[in-house]
Amino acid sequence: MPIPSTKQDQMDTFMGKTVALDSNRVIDDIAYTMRVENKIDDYTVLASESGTFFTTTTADVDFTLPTREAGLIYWFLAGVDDEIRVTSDTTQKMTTFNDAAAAYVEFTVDGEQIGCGFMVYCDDGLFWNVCAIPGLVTATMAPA
Amino acid sequence: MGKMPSLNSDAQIDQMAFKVNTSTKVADYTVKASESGTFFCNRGATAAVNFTLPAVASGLNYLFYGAADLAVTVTPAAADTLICDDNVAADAIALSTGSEIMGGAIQVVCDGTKWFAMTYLEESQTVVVTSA
Repeated sequence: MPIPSTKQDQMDTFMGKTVALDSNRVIDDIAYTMRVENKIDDYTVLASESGTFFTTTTADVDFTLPTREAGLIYWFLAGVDDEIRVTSDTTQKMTTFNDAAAAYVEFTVDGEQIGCGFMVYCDDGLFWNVCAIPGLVTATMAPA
Repeated sequence: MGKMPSLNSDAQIDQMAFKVNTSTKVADYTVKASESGTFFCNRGATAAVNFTLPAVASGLNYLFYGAADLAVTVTPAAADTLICDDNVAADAIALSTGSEIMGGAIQVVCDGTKWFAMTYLEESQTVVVTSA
């Protein structure tokens, strides 16, 4: 039975294995499953959902990011030909294509939206950095 | 608080919630193996930034993000060890075309011999690959 990330404070092991650090103090050969959430309505993302892969499957969805905190990271992918938008928690703190002060990013062109999305992470300067994931090589992304 | 992640029956961290390590560099920087998994950016840079990768080791991975409109170049420690853009022996990859840098990212993963480069680009962003 999957253990939701909200229960990550439990110390379960498998055949005596647990997560360990290597000599560089990094988790070595990490194996994991992603937390995946489908949204059908506009949604305000939580900091505690960092690492989540959000999908849309039925309608336009506007995701609003949480208060900026270094290291937070999310994926947003459209599984339907409807608009997908990711909005910063505050204006002018989002970096995207040739724009260091965006308020939101979105894919809105019909016929191009399936498979489009964004990976968004917050850097140590407390900016949201957007990496576009075009479903089509020619997909048109719109920062604003 | 003494918390540890759990493992599922496949010995995987299940539905992992995590934050990434982030680092901003405004001058040339030699990346460390101990920084594997780090997302670097060049916010605030006043000149181009070259990131030199550490010696190859399987599983090392990094992401380099263009947050300022100045070149971000990723260079392996050894020549001919970068795979990208239909090239199995590239020497460097860069976001270096003015007005096309911000918002672009280059992610590299090492298989122990070569670095595999992936790019996150908007349709009109250019990456420049150097190969001797």
